[in-house]
Amino acid sequence: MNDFEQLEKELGSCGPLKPSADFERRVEEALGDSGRLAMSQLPDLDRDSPSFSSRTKLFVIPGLLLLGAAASFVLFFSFPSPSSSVSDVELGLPADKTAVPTPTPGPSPSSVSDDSPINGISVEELSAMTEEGWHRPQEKEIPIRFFDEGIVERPGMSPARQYRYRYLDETIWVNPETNTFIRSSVPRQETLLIGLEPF
Amino acid sequence: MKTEPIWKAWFAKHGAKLLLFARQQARYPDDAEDLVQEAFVRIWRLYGHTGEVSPTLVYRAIRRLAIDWARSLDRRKIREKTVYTETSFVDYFDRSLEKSERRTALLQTVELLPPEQKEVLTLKVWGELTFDEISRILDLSLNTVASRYRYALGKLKEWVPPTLEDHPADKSTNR
Repeated sequence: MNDFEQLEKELGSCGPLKPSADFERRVEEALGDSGRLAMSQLPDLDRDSPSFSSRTKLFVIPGLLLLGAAASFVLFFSFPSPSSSVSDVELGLPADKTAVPTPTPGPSPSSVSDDSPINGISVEELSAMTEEGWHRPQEKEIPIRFFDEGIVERPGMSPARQYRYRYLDETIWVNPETNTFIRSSVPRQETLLIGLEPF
Repeated sequence: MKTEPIWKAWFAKHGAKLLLFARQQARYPDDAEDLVQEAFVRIWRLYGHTGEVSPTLVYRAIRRLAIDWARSLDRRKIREKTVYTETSFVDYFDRSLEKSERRTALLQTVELLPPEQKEVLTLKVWGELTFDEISRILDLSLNTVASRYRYALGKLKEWVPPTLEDHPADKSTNR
């Protein structure tokens, strides 16, 4: 038996040739979308979270004053807006159940359909803030979770596996002159269908 | 954000082993890469999102595809038009093994084994699979797999002279 173990060891020490780079490229092309899908963001979330928190600290550490100023700034503009409750629902925040939505006569300056990049603040209101000293906004796509929703049938086509991705699109505006920053987080989801070949 | 497809790490770990197995299963050497690609892509599309695809599934798919392709008349016709160069089993391994005369002799002897013993040996030694996994890949009983493995090792032990020294064979390697 010892001889066999020695043989196994000797054979095992011979490493088979690795696939060529060209072959790997071919496999990548053949995988297509499913190759990119397999790039699950989950392991990277763990790696990213410390850097994210350190970045957050950059904003938090200079002082609570900054936060307070920013919060009051956003609240000031968002409270009078009738669309604020709608934004809360979109964000998944607990909505006020006693509030009955009433139709607003005429277009509201801060309606939901507004293209404003900040929830609860209309473009019009934003334009009133056009002070100098704002840096270019920093935009980030934060993956939250993905779901495998199983195989779905598609009429006239091969079945497909459906995946749903949830992201948080975060935008941060910073004005160092006034020590102000605004952070906007918008949830978003994407659905991806990967065609399957019956095997 | 730094991201890399999970399949790349998976393939770096198992690609060489799969290719070695495919080279044994393929009727024609040039089919081996196609076999691995086809089998891997099919399995990864189904289970890749988990990032924990069992290599057994891909080995099994390679074997089934190899059988299907061997039966395929169209492929055979294409092959008939192609000229193939003969490759030795030793050529499927890292060149650094040439340094050892005994290891080269061992691999050359593996090539002489009956195919059914060679595939079990390949899956066990280089695929690093258990007898149970091998039996599922090859659709054989556990006992059959274990005995084929024992026979293979027995023949290697018998055929390769134990006196063959394990030293750099820069003098002359019989290749």
